[in-house]
Amino acid sequence: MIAKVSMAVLMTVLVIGAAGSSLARAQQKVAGGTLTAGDYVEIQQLVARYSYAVDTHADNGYAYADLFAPDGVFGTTKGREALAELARTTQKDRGGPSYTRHYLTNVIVYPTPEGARGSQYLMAIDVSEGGKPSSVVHGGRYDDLYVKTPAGWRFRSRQLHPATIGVPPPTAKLPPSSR
Amino acid sequence: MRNVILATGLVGLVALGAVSAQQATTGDSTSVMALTAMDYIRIKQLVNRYAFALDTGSRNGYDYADLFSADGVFDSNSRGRVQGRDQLAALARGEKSGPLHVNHYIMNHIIEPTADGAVGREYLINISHDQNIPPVGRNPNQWDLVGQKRGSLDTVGGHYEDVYTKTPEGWRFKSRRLVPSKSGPDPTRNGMLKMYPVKPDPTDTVPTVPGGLSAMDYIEIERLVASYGHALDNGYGTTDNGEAYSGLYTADATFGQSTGYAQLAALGREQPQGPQYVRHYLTNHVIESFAGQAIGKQYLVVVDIPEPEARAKGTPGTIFLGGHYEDVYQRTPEGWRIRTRTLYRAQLTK
Repeated sequence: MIAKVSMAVLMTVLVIGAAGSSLARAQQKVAGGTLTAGDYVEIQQLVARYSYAVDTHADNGYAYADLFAPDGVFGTTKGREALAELARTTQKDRGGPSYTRHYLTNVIVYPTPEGARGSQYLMAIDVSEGGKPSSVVHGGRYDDLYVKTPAGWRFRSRQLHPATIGVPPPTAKLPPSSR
Repeated sequence: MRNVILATGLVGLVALGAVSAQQATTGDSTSVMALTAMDYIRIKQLVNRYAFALDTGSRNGYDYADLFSADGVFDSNSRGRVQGRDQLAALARGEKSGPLHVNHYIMNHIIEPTADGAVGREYLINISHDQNIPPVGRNPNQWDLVGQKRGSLDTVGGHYEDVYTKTPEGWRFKSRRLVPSKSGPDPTRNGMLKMYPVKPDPTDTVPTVPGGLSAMDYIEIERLVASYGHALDNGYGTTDNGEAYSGLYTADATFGQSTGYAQLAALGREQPQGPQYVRHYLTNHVIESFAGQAIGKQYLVVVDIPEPEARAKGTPGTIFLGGHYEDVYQRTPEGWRIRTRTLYRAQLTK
């Protein structure tokens, strides 16, 4: 299981590394893939819908599952039924049509020969209910591959990397709370 | 042309199974206004101006009021229904404000075309930044400051429900309602909006006015700015965040006290970082153009996210820094780059 997950992480890193060994270079035209303005907008719209699908549990989780291609995968969860189940059971006792938790920004999309890839930042927020303060619960970066299906752009794969700080220089003293 | 239609038909037939399985997600485009990429961009720009107009109360509140159509309405539990230009301006004037005040962080903008315009939703979280942050020594080790709390999330958070209308002056809010976040069922509300194909248009790659920006220019400038956190915090697939960071700028660019690739790369390398690190969250990106120049501004919040171990203990994240950036962009042979960038830290005047 751990080997599988680390393999998936490694693959994602490799894919991103290969496609853009430097961000400056990545911003140049990527050989073998182009996206129209319409493609970018449609992919941005797909990404933004992710939060609503997972937070509202709409359609018993199938609204979430249907943002993925038929063989789409989130982390190690694959297939429509499994993805719907994942959405239904995420924050099982919270959720609903007015529930907001997954805040995404820094949305970037690049063309690839097979479609597109992209990333966003996640800030998972426990928004105040009943007067208690709101708080940032967790966060990280999503790395995605997108594919254009007959129904439109869909997630082919999506992986969340929880935020972890790197190794500080020897002179730095990181407070324990941040590690 | 006929071949294209035929091919589309064939693809459609082959994919009928997949399409019917995804009906709930993708709408039938015959009954709604066909929106181009530029329509989506203009609607996004309208929404991105909202927080600036409300938080600064600029032009005596009328910058806020003028985001709405003549009969536009804002509605929330706390304020009730506010309609009319003067009433909306008064609402914006009545808020906490100041030219450098930032509070409304708006994300996850979804748009669905309708028969006579569009509807949209976004997530909102209000963040208050501390006002009297004690000065830190010159050139502090930035890693030692991680986890310092200099702001907090407000109790206000939830989602907006918008109706947009295309007026002769451009896209405007016909109505906006704030719905506070709340778990549990609500039979009056469906959380999802349908996706529709975007209509191709000549302005996708050609500016609508001479010296203006095309849809693709907007998209590339959006992405340049959205890359900022990725480059700085984790180098986005590279081992040198300094190179990734300085690559966002022109060769002669200035950010704060740093000018040119070498200084900007050094600035990037001083920042806390790591391959899986995230810290700089940018949103509400406003882009404007005049006479071939492109400028922009957007909100920043630097968040120290609890790492998996801290999260397991229930330790919440902390707000480190807030404010807004103001930018000048320049088109280069390699694409759009930042020419100058200035950070204005959040400040409350009244």
